[in-house]
Amino acid sequence: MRKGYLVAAAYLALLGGTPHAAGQELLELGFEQLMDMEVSTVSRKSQTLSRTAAAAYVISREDIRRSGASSLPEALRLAPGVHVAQISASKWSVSIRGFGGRFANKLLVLMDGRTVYTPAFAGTYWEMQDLMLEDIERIEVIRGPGATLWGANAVNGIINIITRHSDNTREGVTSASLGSGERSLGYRHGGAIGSDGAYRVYAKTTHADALQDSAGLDLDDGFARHQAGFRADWLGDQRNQFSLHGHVQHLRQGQTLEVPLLSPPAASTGWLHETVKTDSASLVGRWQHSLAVDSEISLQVYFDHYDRDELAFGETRNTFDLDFQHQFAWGELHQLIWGLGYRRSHDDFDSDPALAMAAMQSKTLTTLSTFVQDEIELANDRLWLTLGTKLEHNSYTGNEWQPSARLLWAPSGHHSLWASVSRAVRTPSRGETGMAINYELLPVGSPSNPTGPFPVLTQQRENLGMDAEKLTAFEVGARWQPDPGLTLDLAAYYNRYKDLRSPELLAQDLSALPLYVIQPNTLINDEYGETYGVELAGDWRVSDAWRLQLAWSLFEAHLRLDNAAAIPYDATLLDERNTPQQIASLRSSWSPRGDLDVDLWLRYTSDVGVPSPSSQIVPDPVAPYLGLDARLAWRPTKDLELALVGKNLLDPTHEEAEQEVWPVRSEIARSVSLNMQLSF
Amino acid sequence: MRMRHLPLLLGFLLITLPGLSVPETPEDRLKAAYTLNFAKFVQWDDAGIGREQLQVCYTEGAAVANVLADEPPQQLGSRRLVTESVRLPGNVERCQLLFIHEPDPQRMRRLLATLAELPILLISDARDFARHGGMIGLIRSGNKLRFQINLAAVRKAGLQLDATLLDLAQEVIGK
Repeated sequence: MRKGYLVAAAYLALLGGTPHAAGQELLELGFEQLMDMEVSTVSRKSQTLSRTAAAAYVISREDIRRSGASSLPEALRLAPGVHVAQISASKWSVSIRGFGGRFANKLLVLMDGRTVYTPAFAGTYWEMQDLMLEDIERIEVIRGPGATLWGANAVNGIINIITRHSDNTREGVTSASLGSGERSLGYRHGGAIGSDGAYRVYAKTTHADALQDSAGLDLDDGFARHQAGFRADWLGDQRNQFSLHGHVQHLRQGQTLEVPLLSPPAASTGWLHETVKTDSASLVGRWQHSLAVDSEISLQVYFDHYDRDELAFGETRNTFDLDFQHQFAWGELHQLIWGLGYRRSHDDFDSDPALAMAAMQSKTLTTLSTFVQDEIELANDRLWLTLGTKLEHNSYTGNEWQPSARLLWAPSGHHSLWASVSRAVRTPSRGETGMAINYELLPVGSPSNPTGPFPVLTQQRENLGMDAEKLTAFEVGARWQPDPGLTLDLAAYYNRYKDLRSPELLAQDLSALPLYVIQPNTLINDEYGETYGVELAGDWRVSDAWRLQLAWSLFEAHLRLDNAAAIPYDATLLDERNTPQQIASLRSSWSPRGDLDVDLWLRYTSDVGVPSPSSQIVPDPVAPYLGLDARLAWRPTKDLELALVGKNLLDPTHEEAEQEVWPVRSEIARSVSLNMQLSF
Repeated sequence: MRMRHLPLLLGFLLITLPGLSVPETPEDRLKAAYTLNFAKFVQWDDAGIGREQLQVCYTEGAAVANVLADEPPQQLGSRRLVTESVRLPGNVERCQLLFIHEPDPQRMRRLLATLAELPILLISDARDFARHGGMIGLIRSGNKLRFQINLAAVRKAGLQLDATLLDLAQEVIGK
């Protein structure tokens, strides 16, 4: 018996002698010894997340490179709790904590400070967001409301894409990809501006092939995207820093939609194919100035323009935004930040009346905002309370308050616990308030129109008095680093929504008889309820050469209608079911040699229901799927990297999502590509 | 060893195995060791500073953060040692040494401009730190760690470095 305890004691003594010894030891080594020690090649992880009182995840450059992602939505799959689904060759649905879809409206997306959210539908056209992925420094994904700092529409999350400082991209890079479904070529050139500045310019072109539907029909939904841009940074007199970014883009995307065809002799449903052309450009300027050691201000101005030539939602939009922030320390315990914002967005809609019509062809939306946030250190280096609020005045709903309170407890540098309560608001969009849209033709004999005697056209009509959706979110989270090579990040949330968008049926319109009867509805705010879930991220550096990353999330929604009795179908189905209950991903990054990478990525998404807006039956949900991506990379020299990337390898085709309006389901195909990156 | 002690030993193994298979990043510990050792070689013009107590600060994300938070040494010779994490812009006046982590190179240079005249020894592992006005920059030379000193910046802050430290430096700028 004693022998056993001796072994245990020896074991413990062995432990005591490992690097977990007391810090005094660090001082006992003199410089002669320190200068002789060798440093390992394992790259250091950023520790900043441990001081964040929110469910935050940072996608690094390395993560993006090794995932084989060739577009922004694919890169976003790396974060836990983000539901990314490909709708067609060019269209994506990206959402956090529910309410997904092409027109998802509860997520705020920023590129270097420029908001890429459009008031057309309060969401993001992902096909317009592109850049050279090699120039991304990191993508910060914050799940949960960030409305206090970022404003309305940061309801369920913020995605902040940050590009590398031009000082760090002074060399040239050529990047080419030749694949079975997509081909792209990008070139970037950088240099210095005098002794205090740097710049880069780039040009990139991407072509993607069309996908097919489940019957094998070509959907002609491929795209061609040409983009060029630049970034310049320079330092003036040491206390001032300036930054300028810009881009231009021309995008042509094919689109196949299943639309109601309403001309005589009979109304029917058919396929509409068109090529959507979009031209866009932006210019962002930023000035940062240090007033003192503990006080700095920043001012950002940007112009954004896009012109979308599309049958249903043709739109030209010009946005001007001005943003001012002041960050300073007040006394020993307070870290304050406050700001002012002004945004003006002017649009002109041009729709084909057979599909949609804008009640107000042109509108200018003005938003004024101010915010303040105080981070208070309650206990020295251990406990922080952050209180803040944003006040925003918008053209639709007037004043909206978005306060939040966050508490962070960090008993040690390795573990932290946080909790928060916040309120966020989602302002109505042009598409919801000011457009008439012909949704769907329900033929006689179909489940939603069993007896007829006429086909029914469901149609949305405008409602300029639509209110903002509101969220009160309760969140808790924990970060635990039991070992330098192992990090676990857990977040749980309970969201209470009210005034969610819901339909109100209006009196039937018989003006189109005998072809069809119109069943109009407007969008009001009668839906409410809860969503809740859990998100887990794990990161384990098994060895110097092998790293495993896990992301897993669970989601549940229970929504109800105030006016349920007045609607003959379950109008909450779409919102409850269009987000999968479980999303999981496991990534293995292995470098058997310094110049070789073997990366595997296994992804699982549970089923997604996609009922049409006016039907009570869920036609057929998108099945759960397991996807595997693999990447093999070789660096024959330090300037050249060749990679073989396979995506969606487990099934020849699978479905992920369909668009909410006029949907045609695309089959996402298995693909292989050969990528090359050359620096010079 | 008897079989019934096997579960006990397995329990120990399970808890400690991750610790044994993944050595703590030597680079972070090495940088922490260098930083603390620099403290032995600094003198302030104002003799009152750093006599009884030395405050070693580091910013969020600094290489030394985890090491110093985990195993804060308490004594440096006869002086008490206090380590603290600070958030910039913030209260750094009470620090005698500050290890800065700032990935944005121009934000770093703005920080250096504002911190330049404070009697704080500024250390970092950022690229070209000494050349841009930092006082001691840690650099990788092959797979060993070395440092560069910007003597002009040191003097401007009202500090003096021991001659032995200057000899050990890979490069001394602004002599």
